[in-house]
Amino acid sequence: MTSPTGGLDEVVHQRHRLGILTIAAEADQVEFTYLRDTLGLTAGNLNRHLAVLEDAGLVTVAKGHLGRRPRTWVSITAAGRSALAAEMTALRELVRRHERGVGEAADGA
Amino acid sequence: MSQDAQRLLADLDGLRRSTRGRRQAYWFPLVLFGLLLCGAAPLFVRMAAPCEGSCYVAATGPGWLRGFGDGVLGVYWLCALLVGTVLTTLWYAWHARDSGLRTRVRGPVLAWLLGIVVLLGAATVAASLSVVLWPALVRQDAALLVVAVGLLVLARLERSRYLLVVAVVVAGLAVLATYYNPENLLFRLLHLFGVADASMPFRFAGAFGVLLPGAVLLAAGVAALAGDARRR
Repeated sequence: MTSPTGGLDEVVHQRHRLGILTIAAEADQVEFTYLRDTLGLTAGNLNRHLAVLEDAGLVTVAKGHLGRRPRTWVSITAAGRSALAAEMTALRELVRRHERGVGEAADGA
Repeated sequence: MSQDAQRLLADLDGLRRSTRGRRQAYWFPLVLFGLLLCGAAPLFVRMAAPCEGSCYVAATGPGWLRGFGDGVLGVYWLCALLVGTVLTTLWYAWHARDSGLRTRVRGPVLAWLLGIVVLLGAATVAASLSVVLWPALVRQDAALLVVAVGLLVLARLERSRYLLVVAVVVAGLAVLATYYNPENLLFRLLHLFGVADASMPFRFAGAFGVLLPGAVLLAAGVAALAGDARRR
């Protein structure tokens, strides 16, 4: 039997990176400041996580301007969606096995 | 670890819901197209008998708009579809800048523009395909179908069950208005309430086919706006 933790991806299985992918999956593009404010990260911290995700091909980052104001838009890639779906499946399996284990222990007691 | 996983899953679910709620912005096109549809109603008022040819209030206008309708009605529908498409595009662009969440509306925009092209083309082919196209064009509200198709595509992009239900209802009403005389339903209803034939609002009944989907869109749009306001 494989361990349910074996399904977790090291790149994706980090709380803030999971948050970034979850938010990005809900829009065609999400702006940098929205991610920063919603996840409660500093700009530097968010940039580091985005760099990891971009290097892994899970998001694309597009920089532009609105008037004089710089804007950075983040989009999840198809690989990012697959990785997020796989991570969510692994997490749910982890919870399901735990609940089954607790149930079996209660029956035995 | 599994308790952490459970907590994490709950947090992510909350993030997903709040982001989707913040991103969705379909109240505007619902209200906009609702107003545009209701705005066509006065143009369906029939002139007092006797009248020749098309008896709608203003029946002179360019023939190339025949796919939309006769005269002013044809001009109105073309302008309404163009205005609806442009304002919806601008609205979503503004909403993306304001919220930080972008929904690309290429799909519904293409659907509306394609619908306009089809109706413009209908005027040129109508003579040769009149038997096939006549049922869709005779009531001069085929533009309702164009609006409905665009909204169905928008519902898919917005990932909204609420918008999908509204779009399906409006699509049903659009098909009813295009291929049937929905005012007959109004007359039957009024008859049930004892209204005599002589008192039936025959002159204004043509507007029923556009007022009904228009009212549904307006009500749904206002409800969606109220829901947005409550969430914030």
